[in-house]
Amino acid sequence: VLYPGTPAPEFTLPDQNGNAVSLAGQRGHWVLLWWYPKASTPGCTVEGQALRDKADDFRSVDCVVIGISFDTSADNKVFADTQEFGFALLSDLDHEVGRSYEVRRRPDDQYAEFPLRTSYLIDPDGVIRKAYAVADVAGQPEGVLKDLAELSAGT
Amino acid sequence: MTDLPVRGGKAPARVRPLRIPIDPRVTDEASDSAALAARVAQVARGGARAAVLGVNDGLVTNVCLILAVAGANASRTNVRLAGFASLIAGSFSMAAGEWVSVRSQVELFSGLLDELRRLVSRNPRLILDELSAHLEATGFGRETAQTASTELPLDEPRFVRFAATTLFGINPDELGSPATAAGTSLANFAAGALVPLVPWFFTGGVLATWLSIVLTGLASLVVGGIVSRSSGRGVARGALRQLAIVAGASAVTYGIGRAFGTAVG
Repeated sequence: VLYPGTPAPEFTLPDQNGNAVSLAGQRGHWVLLWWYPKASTPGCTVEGQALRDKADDFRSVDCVVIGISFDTSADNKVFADTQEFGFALLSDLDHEVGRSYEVRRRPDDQYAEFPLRTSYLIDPDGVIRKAYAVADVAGQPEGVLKDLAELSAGT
Repeated sequence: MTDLPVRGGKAPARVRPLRIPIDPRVTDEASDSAALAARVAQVARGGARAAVLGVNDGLVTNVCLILAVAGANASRTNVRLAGFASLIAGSFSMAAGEWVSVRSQVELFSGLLDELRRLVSRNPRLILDELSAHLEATGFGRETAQTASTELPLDEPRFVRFAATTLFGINPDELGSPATAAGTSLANFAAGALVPLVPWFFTGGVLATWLSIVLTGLASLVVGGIVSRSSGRGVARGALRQLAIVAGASAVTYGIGRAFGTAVG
């Protein structure tokens, strides 16, 4: 996991519709980058649903929500369309961005093909301000929004 | 550098994540929760069905029958015939019953898996919360329990097995086969039923009747003791209780046989 204060590694990856999305393109906005293990599985679905249901709250504090995994764009499209997600889901097929964000598991882990469930809160200057090893998938948005409110008040 | 053996559970050749169509929104939280609770309770009742031992059934059935027939002053040949017919009929009845019972369990389990998938599809959060709560109750910290419950669906077969075992108390690996259960039941009942019948192959009258009672009493003590021991209770108490049950049932049947034999014999 990357520690707060670390500049967020840059990336440009395709979203579920095949459009390239870069971190640099989000400068000036807060970004919640949520890594999820596998599209359309129960844990990731509940996590995505919880973020979807707080979309207005994230928008109101100028925070862009971006999901990212090792899934294909096609799998992510099914996931996003079925769950009516209004945010981008990016595909890191070669796991290279996952490596730079330190969300890859050990090669001998039985789930090595899935990234760790980790979220990063990145500030408008592209610096990581919070890193979350997400356990409570449904409760994540409340914690992040609370942190966002505190961080925004401090800047 | 030498390769160290991989620690932990053996990983499957390729994990298959649980990816079923999940409704985007939960429409009726309370109804889903009630449905799950009702299903769990129903399975718990079914799973707690009395584990009746075939040997015990054979003992009680045949000693009662033999005493009833003997009580009606039947000849040694007739007692033997009746006892043997009871042994055959009871054995096959038990085998058929057990076959149906285990077969039903297998079907129940596959129905539960369908239901589990439907619930995950309708309300994945409910299932994850239930699993997490169970893991917490087992002794895991909250974060560990939550992480585990969201990681388990990354491999569908193991997730389904774990969820079924945890939520419904049914382990698919322990269901056994209907044929094995039927065969075991048949053999156990026959063994139990043979005990009170054996004396009638060698002697008859009052001596055979007493020998049936004594042999059945001894066998009951053994069966009662074994059952109590396996359930962690006192051996002597279990053995004596079993003896009392068999003695009571036998006395009543013998009395009825005598009354019936006097009336129609």
